[in-house]
Amino acid sequence: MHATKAAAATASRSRQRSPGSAGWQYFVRHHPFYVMLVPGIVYFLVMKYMPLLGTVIAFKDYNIFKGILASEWVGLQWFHQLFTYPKFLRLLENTLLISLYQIVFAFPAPIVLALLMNELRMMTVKRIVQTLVYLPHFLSWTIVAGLVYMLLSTQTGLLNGLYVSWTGNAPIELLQSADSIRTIIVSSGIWKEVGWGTIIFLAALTGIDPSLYEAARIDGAGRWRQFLSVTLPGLLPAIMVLLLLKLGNVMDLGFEQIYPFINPLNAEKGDVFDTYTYVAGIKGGQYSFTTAVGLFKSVVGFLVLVLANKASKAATGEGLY
Amino acid sequence: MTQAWKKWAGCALTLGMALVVGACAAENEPAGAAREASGTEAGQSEAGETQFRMFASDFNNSYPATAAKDYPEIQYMAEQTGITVDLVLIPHGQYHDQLRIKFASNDIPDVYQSWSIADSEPVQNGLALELNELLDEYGPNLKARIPQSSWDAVTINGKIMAIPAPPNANAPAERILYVRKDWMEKLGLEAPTTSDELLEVLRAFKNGDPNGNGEADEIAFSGREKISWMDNIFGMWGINPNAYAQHEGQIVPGFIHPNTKQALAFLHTMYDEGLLDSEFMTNTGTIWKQKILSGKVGMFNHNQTLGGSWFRDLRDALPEEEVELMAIPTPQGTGYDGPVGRVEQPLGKVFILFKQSANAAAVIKLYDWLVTDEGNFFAAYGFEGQALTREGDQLFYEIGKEKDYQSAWRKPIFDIIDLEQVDGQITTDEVLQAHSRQGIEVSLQEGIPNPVAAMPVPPTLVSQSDLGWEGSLFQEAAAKIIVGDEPLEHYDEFVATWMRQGGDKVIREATDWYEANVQSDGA
Repeated sequence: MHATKAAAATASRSRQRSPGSAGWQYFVRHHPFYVMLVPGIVYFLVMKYMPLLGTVIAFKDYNIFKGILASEWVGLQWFHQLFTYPKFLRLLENTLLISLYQIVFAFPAPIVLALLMNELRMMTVKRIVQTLVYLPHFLSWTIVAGLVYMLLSTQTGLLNGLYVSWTGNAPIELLQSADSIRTIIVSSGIWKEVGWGTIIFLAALTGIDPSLYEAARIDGAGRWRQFLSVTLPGLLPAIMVLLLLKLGNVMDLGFEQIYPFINPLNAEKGDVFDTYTYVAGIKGGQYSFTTAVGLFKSVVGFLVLVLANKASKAATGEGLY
Repeated sequence: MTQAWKKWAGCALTLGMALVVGACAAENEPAGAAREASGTEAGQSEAGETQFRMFASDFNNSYPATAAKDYPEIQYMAEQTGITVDLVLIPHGQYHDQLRIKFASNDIPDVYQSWSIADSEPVQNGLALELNELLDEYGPNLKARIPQSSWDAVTINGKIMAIPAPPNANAPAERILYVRKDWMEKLGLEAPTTSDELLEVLRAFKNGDPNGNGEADEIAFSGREKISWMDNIFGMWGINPNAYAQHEGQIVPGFIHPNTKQALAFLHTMYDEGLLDSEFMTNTGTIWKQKILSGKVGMFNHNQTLGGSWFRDLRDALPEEEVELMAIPTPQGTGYDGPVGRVEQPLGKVFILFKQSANAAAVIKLYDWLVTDEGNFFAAYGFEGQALTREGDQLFYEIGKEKDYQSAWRKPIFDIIDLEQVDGQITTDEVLQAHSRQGIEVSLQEGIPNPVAAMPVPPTLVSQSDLGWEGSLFQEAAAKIIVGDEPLEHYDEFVATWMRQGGDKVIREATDWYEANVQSDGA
């Protein structure tokens, strides 16, 4: 209360000093709103911006017992170590390829599902389907990995069991094989997140003005024509925004999604920056090095985002900013 | 006027909320401090007592959801010694990761539990307390009752860096092979003494349908992810991949020793003939245990003291089979005649104190009490009327009951030695006891000497985790050789790559440490 009174006093004094400033008067008139903004700003400063300062350990030899300030500066040593790391190219290739597969296969999946559900006319069916498909979102990746194991295991797996009993062949080794790891990662990701992803697109679909459909029908457009000329253009802004955000995270695949599936037999095609950061950082205690990896990932993500945003603005007129 | 009042009320409300949020955020620290302070006060009012803060693994046991000082066990120890343990239990599976995070956020206890000083960051950073004087003053029982080999493993240049707990049952070769004895008898097999005989036993398990269900679904031998829990297979040739070995005057990681190649060839044969669990690369501990308890596994590798509990679990899980389990001595690998089995670990656990601790004396005093007959009896068996029961003048103890009283966490943290005069007071289930004893006997007869038990992780291995035994270089090469994606010759290629990427430095660092700290003492 004291602070508010003091602020009010200062405010009234400065009003006397510069009575002509329109911006100041605007601020004073609406000051309750600005005060209400304070907790949000404080939250972002404390929770989002302060931790960014910790990034300096990417340029230091951070020792948890010395603390951030007392640790020695080492310049770009960790970046040098990253770029000369023998498996750097392998990590980069796996990260980018899995990301690409996700954009090609996993990103459109919820759009297609949302469009299909949008065509459903029975509300109850739509609601039930919607609830069922987004339930897996609430399972943790560890559980999903367990389910995948129960499906694909060569000894106890349901799918492999069916395959063996139908064809009489030997079971197919999928979990311990490098060729199938990326497919497993991307498709288990689709299964888990597709329903959840539809929510935003279904919301965007309800935002399309019904009069547009009416106009199209009057002009003689069929269902397919309506879809192409009304639904899809109406959905495009949401698609572009989400695609751009996804591109900004092109280097982030999520450690918890991939780590449970990795073993030495498939690591050559499944190892990504996120799993490597975990192994080296948390297990190996190399905080500085893994921070450098994280910073590298963020910079790449940022550049991709800026470029993609430019391209998108030029091509479709839609952008994030 | 009312307008203005409303506006101010709005401001006040917002500000109030901000303050509440702030207060919540700030609450953690004062609350923690207050808790500690009140703990000390309460303690002082009871018996002028002291307390210390300790991090330890929960060893996958459950514990009451109250503050540690309210656990009856902690209270009992406080009554006996005047020392309250502010115990923080950390989930076993994430123990090291969680410790790192706690230390990094400057949450430093007085003492923490670990398994060796070799991988202890506080010890390497000179933050661990040297215990020599404190032990002389407060730890006479510790000094008298813990064997010298355990002290040696926590001593660096004459400085004792931790309280050591000797290995379970004082049997340093802590992993042995267990085999389904009923399967062997059914198929008329003898315990194998060489690697070739072992292969014959496994083949018989695979093809002789010992579980009698008419299907060849037996898994002759099962291991776990990361090529772990197959130590005694490697041990047939005198090396363990996750320990060090001596080779041509140097200290090398076990997986670099040339004998590894023979072990990998053997494992490849096992995999090729379907004798090795085909899912050995993905088996988690839980799945591995389920497979064994479902009666499909003929042979596995586990700790030397667990024969009794494995037998009990198997008997309970397979009531219609006449399960019999036994430990077998590690067979001798073809073309090798040195010591076999598990590389010896002279330590079961260690307790590392921090230099900055103001309560170090209390830690030593408490552990000194824990190795007295009286203290050890309590640490090992808990309260009478729980897992420990009295019938007439006989005392019975059933470890399985500990979990009914949420007290199983007590034993691994506080029961640090095995004393005959203590354990002799107890009458246990003789069948289980016999199984445990048989495993320990086997373990005591074998084992590979370990000259570098106290060696810290070589610095190059810290900065390049790829070069370690869990690192991708060895794991991927070994896995590919075992499943046959690469020929055995790939091993030589792997060693060359490993050397080139910094392995030569690892060997030099390890050898230098050995020459400076072990050889010089011996000479």
